[in-house]
Amino acid sequence: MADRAPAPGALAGLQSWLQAALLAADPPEPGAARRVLAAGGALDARACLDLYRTSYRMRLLESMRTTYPALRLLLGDDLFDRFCAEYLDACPPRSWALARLGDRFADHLERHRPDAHLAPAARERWIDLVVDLAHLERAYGEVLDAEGTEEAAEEGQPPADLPDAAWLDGAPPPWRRACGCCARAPSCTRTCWRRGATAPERPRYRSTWLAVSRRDYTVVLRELFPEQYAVLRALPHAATAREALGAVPAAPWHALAARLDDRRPPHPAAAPAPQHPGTSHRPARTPTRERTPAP
Amino acid sequence: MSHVRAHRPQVDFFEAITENYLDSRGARRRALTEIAERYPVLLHGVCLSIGGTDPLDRDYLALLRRLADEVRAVWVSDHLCWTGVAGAHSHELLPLPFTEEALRHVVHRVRLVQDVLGRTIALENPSSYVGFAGSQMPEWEFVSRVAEEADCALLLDVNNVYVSSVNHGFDPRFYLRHLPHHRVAYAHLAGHRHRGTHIVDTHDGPVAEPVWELYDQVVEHTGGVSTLIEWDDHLPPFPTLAAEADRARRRARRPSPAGTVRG
Repeated sequence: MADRAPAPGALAGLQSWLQAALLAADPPEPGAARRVLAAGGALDARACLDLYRTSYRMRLLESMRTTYPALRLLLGDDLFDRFCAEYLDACPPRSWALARLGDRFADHLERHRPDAHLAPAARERWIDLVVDLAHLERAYGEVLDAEGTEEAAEEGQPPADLPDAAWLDGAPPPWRRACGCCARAPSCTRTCWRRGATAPERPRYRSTWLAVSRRDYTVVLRELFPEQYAVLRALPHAATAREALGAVPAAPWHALAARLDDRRPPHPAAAPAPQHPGTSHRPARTPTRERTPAP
Repeated sequence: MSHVRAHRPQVDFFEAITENYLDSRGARRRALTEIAERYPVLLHGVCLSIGGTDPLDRDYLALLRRLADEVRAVWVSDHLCWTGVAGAHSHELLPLPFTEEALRHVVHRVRLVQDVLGRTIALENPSSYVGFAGSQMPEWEFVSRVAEEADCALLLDVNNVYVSSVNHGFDPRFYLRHLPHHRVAYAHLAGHRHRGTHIVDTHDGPVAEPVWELYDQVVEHTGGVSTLIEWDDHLPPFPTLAAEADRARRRARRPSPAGTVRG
């Protein structure tokens, strides 16, 4: 049953006009507002419209503040609000879900970075930090609400993070949205989330790779090696876990797949980190697991 | 939620903002499931855009039907407004012009939605801050005719009637008197803020006295309906909220007409 009724002409035109007036950076001309709108009480038509314009921006800004608490803390309210305002002007919401409001925020920041014309090596590291933190907080929100393994656990099904060969070649599990998200993140992330009201004075930029997953409805960050990160990035686009592993041309992963075929190994993310070919400049520690407070 | 888990308060029903749970499989959805196991749940949406001129969002409606079935929703409601066109979502409850054209458009869409959901929906009168030069009838008539011609229910927001009556200068008692009272499924009460030149529907404080007086009139007309206290910002401790609901319950003079909490 389709909604076949044609959009009413006058109503459609009026709604287009009002929405444009709502979203535009500047309010409409007073004359135009008076022709379309009826003043209410002590306010003229344009002032009435301004109530909606202000409410629209404040509601979306509040939603962005909720989604990006660490980034807000790092940038300070003024700069964060300004970045959000520019983003919302460029990318007005297209979804009924406010949780998806920031879907394009990190990409927007990346696209509009002032040093975009420079070679990557010559760019400002603090801008990398801002973009990466935006990516991470978006991933955090996605995992927080994604389908997870908790319901299966309540029904007595075995934990989903003990893979075997069947896991390698089977259809992707439905819960992978809550397990496969990952992000490159600045090392100050946890500091920002923990401190609450105080940003680190001089945040140090050192890229880390994190898996963002959920256990018992709590989001967990787990530090990864770059190869692990690459596999997780490939997982949502691969038909099987084996295909994702194969997408990363690093010998340790093929060895790991072979070991999984023997049904003896632990989960990659819980195993000792594979030795990177050039380990001299890499952190030689096992991935850490840590519960994080909700941002 | 921790208070509800610990004390299992005597609440007649809970109302959940639909969009907060529609596509969530995380902790908050789990919390709603827990509540639905013990209490009646009402779903109250803000993004149906029943007056919008974009096609109805079929994916949204499918999710809504699934959620309503899963929590065995007693009522599914939304606002008599529109929220965006051309694919945009303003997340604002934007006012409709009270015209014959808009009336026909809304009635047609309400019927479609009720068919898709397999249930009668309730529409809420929103508060508004602007009207349209081209409106052809008062708000109460528009609301009443939508309900009658689409055969849907009304979620009567008494605070919104008061807010809009001040902002647009109409008589709220006349408005309430002329609604189809048999179609009122339940009522909302809420706090607001007076800004001198206008009133803003803020949901951040106790219900104002003029709204309680209008509520008495609603009780008189309807014989008492289930009532929800909307308190979305600067949320007080749960007992304060429950006390406000008790006040509605006492005024309604019915054994158990009033609910309390929106999540």
